[in-house]
Amino acid sequence: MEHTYVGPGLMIDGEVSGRGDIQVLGLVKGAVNLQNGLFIELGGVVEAEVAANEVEIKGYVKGQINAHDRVEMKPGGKMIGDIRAPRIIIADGATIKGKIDMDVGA
Amino acid sequence: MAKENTGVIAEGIVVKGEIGGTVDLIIEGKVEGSILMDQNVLVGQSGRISADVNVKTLAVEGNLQGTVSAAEVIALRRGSRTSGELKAPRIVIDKEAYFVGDVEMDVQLPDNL
Repeated sequence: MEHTYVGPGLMIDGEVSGRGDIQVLGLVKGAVNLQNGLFIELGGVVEAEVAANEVEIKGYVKGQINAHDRVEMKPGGKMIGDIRAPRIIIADGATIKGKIDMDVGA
Repeated sequence: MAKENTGVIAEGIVVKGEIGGTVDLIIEGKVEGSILMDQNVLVGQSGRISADVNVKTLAVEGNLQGTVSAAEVIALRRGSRTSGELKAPRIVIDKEAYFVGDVEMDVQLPDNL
């Protein structure tokens, strides 16, 4: 199935929800409520309350992330805000300022 | 299908709010709110739009309800269902496209009419 692609130069401000992966190279603001994965690529910016199964961060995030499965911060990924997920991976070179909570009883 | 300069809202995704930008956009999901793009927008067969739309060109293959203003052309394709107001220099309604609403193009009738 084709996934949702917020390319560079595309901006969504509001509430995004549903099933299917979303790949972000542009800007997403507001709230994201996904049954699948949110992939924030290099150059992608997410300023939102995020609920998803899985979140991968290579770009910038400002907001809260609540992941059902895992959150992975890749090298170069930057985040300000709190993360809640049973599995959280922070790679060398990723930066984050916020609370991390893995005690969510997956 | 996802090329560098194209955005895709896939089937199964719902966006409530504002979408804007400088790239082409393909919508197969559901959008409620507004779409303000200076490039081409395609509402695919599974696309469901309820929005104010302001774009360069718009092609509808799915369902759209709202006010549409296009700088160049609006095309309602076969099998599409659209209601609302359309405003553009060129508006195309294909055979077997369903439309209810207002259409506004620049019309210059000959003086002697």
